[in-house]
Amino acid sequence: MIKKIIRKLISFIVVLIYLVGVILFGEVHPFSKFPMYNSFANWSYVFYVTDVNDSLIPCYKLNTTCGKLGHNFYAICSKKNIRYGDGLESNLELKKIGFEMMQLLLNKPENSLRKKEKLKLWRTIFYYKNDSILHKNQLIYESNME
Amino acid sequence: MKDFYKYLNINSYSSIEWKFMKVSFSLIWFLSFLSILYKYSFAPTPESVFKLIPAGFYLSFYAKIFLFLFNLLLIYFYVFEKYIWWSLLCLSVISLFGFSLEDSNSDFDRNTMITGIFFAQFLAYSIKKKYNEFDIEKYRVQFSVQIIAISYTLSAIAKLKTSGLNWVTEGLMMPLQIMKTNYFGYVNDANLEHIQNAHHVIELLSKYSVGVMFVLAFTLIIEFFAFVSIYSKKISFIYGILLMFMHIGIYLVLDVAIKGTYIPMLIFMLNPLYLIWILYISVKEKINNKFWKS
Repeated sequence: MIKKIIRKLISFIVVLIYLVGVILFGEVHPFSKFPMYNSFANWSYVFYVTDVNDSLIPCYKLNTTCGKLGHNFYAICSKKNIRYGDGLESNLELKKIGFEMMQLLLNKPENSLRKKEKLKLWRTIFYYKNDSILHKNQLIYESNME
Repeated sequence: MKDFYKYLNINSYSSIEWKFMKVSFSLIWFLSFLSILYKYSFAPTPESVFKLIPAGFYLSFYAKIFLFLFNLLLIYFYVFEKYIWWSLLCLSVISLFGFSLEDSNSDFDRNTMITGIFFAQFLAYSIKKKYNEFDIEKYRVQFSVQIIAISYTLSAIAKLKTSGLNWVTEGLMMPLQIMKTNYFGYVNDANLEHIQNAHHVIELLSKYSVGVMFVLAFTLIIEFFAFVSIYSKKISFIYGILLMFMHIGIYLVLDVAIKGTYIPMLIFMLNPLYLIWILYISVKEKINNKFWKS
């Protein structure tokens, strides 16, 4: 009987440990509640980098991805206790966040050459208006702008 | 094709299956780890274990070379089942630090499953060390499947907790997400096809809104009940197929593929390299039989 219970428990032991870990630590690697796409907001951000002529520099040339730029933005907002989403951020806040995002981007060793160039960091906000999807582009930071 | 069906009917894992899993899994892990070593030396926004390190973290070039060689050695031990307890312990800890370093650069690549699987396999070998009668052949894989299954179920619970069953109807707002994720693709590689794809998919979905809700409901159900895949190898295989279709659907509609999630799922639930191998063996056997008969 006890052996049977132990055998049953073993079939779930990793699940149990993982659940306890998620409850205790939350979103701390290797634990996660996997919150991706848990709601469909009526706004959305896309971040991108351009050169001085406003031509897009694809993320693969910067050794990053657009998704990672977004994660950088949200992580910096959380660290600085800045409320984000739906265009809530002030211009000053965006400039501060943009500065840190650019530091993260340029500090990657393989991007050292780009330090010499003037880069622009943009945010596009997508939103609904009368059942149509509209978007607005906003320059949030320019490197070498100081 | 007998061997092929036998694979689905047997509720245990052969050593060759296990080896194919290890080869695929360690390859994925090693490539991810190389990318981390190449990209990161500091932890500017400390996450996970790096929050526990009070002083600034710096990974020097020589430390990277050492880690690269040490990992090669560990993977050799892991694949050839030598010092397996120690190699799994080291791989788990290195994986924890490696992916935490990635998170600490605000690059959340959702690799929690990979570290979790190493720890789960380490737990299986630890139990085996203590209790000799423990069925290690079964549980080293079943423990890995447990991590995968609970991850999908937790994902469904997160959706239900945040949006409730409305998640299915909220899905009508999905065109905005489709636009966003396809723009991600465009920003990544400057290929305008992503944006054309977004407009095409949005137009298609607007015609079939009831169908969209049905698909979303189906996705939620598949994710929620993913835990049933821990009951047997057969259920795990069938569930693997369902999840694979779900990921293909997500990729086609949203242009999103989270490699840290779908690759471990494919390896431990479907084991594609092993499927190719038994298909090759079955076909070879059939050709041989035909040749001998004639």
